[in-house]
Amino acid sequence: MRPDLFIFNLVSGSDNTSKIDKIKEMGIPVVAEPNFLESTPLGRAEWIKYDSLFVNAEKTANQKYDEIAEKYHATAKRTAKVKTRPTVLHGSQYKGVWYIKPNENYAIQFLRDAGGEYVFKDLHGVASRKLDTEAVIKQAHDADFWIDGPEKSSIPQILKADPRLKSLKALDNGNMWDATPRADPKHGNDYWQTGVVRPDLVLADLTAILHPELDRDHQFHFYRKATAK
Amino acid sequence: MRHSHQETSQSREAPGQDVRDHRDVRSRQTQGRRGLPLPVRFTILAAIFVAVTLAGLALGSVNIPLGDVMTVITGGTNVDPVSLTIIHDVREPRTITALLVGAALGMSGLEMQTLFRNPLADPYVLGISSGASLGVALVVLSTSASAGAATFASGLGIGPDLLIMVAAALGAAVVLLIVMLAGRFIHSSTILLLLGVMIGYFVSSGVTVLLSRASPELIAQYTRWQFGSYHGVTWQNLRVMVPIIVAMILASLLLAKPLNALLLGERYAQTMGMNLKVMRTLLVASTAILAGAATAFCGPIGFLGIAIPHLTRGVLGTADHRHLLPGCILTGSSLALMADILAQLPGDDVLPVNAVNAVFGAPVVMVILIRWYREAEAT
Repeated sequence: MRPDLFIFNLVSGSDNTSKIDKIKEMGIPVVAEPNFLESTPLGRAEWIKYDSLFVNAEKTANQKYDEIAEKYHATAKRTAKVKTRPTVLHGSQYKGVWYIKPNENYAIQFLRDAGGEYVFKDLHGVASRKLDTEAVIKQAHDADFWIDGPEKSSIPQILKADPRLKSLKALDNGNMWDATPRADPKHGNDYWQTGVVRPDLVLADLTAILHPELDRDHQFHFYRKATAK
Repeated sequence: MRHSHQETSQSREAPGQDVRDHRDVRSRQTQGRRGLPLPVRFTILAAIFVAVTLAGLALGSVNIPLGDVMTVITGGTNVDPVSLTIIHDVREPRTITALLVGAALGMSGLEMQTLFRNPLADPYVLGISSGASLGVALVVLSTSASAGAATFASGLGIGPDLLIMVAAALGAAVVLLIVMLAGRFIHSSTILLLLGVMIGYFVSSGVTVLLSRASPELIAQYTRWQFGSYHGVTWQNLRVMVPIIVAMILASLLLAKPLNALLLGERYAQTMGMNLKVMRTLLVASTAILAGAATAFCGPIGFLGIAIPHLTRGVLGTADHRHLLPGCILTGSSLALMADILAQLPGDDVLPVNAVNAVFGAPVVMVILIRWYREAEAT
C-alpha cells in the first residue's frame, strides 16, 4: 500500500507525532484534519471542502455543503420558534462514572438547534467531563429526554444494570434514544461516518425526537428509541 | 471473639518477632508498651472508623444538608426525594463497598505478608488481583455471549453475581498457589516478588487475548473496570458481596493463632502441633476469597493490601495477629473510604480511586524498600 496522501485527525501527542513522522519519512505527504475541535455540527461537516481540494472536487463539495447547510438551517429555524424546550440529558456512564459533554461541545449544539434545553448547560468547555452518579441524578432527574445513553439497550436492561437510575424521569417515560440502528456489531457505526458530513439528517432526527409535533411522519435515519421490553 | 483487653497482658508473651526483621518489631513493641495502652488505640481506630463512615454518607459532589443526611440514615424519608435517592442508592452502597473492600484487602494483605514472610506481599503486587480479573473476564465474556447483554460485571442478577465472585476467588487462588509453589524453591523475597509481578503480567495477557475476540463495547468496559471503583456497586451486588466478605472476615479472625505461629517459622509452628498443610490451605482460601470478592465488582484496587498491615502494625505497636487482624479491619475500611472521599473532592470531575491510593500507598512501599537497603548495607 502506498497512498498519495495521509490524512489524520488524531489528537496530537508525542506517540502520534512519532508515527506521523515515520509516515513522512516514507515520503508520503501528511496533512491534519482536526475536525473534532469544531464546536458546531456544521463546522465539522464543512471540512469536506478541505478534503475536496485534494481530489479536485471543490465545486461539488461547495455545492453539497451549501445544500446540507441550507437544510440544517431550515430545521433550526423551525425549532427556534418552539414554545417549550424539553430538557435533555446527554451521555452515558460506566460503573458510576458519567462522561458528560460541556455546553460548547458540538453534540450539545445539536440539542439546542433541535429545540432542546441541555441539563448541564452550566458546564463549560469542549472535552467530556467525568461526573459521578449523584451529580447526574441531582441535575437530570427531571430531564424529559435522555439521548445517546447506554447503547443497543432496553429500559428494563438499563434499570437492571443500574437500579439507581430509576429516579430519572426520562427512563420512566421511556424517552430514551440512541444512535445505533446503523451500527455494525463488530466494526463501527455509520453515525460516526455519514453522520459527521450529514448534520442535517442528525438534526432532523433529533428535532423529531424532541418535537414530534413539528414532523409527524419523520422516518428516523440514525436514532431509535430504547425498547420498553 | 477473644481479642478484648484482658489479653493485653498476655501480649507480652505473644510471639512478637518477625523472622526477617525482629529488631525492628521488638523496638516497635517496646514503643507500644510505653505509649498508649492497646484498648485506647483500638478505641481511637474505632472512632476514626465511625467518623469516616459518617463522612462517606455526608460528603459527595452534591451538597446535601447534614440534617437531611441524618434523617435518611436514621430511617426517615421526610426529605427531598432527590436527596433521598442520592443518599440511599448512591452514597450508602458506595460507603459499604469501600468499607468492605478496605477490610478485605487489608486482611488478605496481612495474611499474605505473614504467609510469604515478606513485607511487600499483597494481592495486587503478587498478581492475585490479576488472577481474579481473569476469572471475572471468563465469566462475563461467556455469559454475555450467550445472554447478548454487553454488561461487564454488573446487573446480571444474583446467580451470575455469585458466579463472578466464585470465578474471581478461584482465579485468585490459582495464581496464589502458583506463587506459593515457586516460593518453595526460591528463598529470596525479592525474586519471589518479581516473579509474582511477572505472573501478574502473564495472566493479564490472558485477559487481553480473551478480550481481542470481544465486542468493542466490552473492551471499553473492561478497560474502565480496570481503573478500579466502588461507585458501580449497587444494592443488588451487595446482596452477594456483604455476606461473603463479612463471613470471610469473621472466619479469618480465627486464623490469628496459626498466623502467629507461622511468624516464628514453620518449625516452630510444627512443634506447636499445627498441621502446616491444613493451615496453609485455610490461609490460601481466606486470602483468595477476600481478594477475589473485593476485585469482582470493584476492579483491581491497588496499594491497600500492602499499606494497611504496615499502618496497622505502626498504630497498634504490635506484631500479634490477634490484634492485627481486627486492627486491619478498622484501618483498612477507614482508609479505603477516606481515599474514595478524597477522589471525588476536586471540583466537578472524579479521580480514579487508585490514583489516591497510590499517594499514600507508594510512600509506605518506599519506606520498606529503604529499610531493606539499609539492612543489606549493615550486614
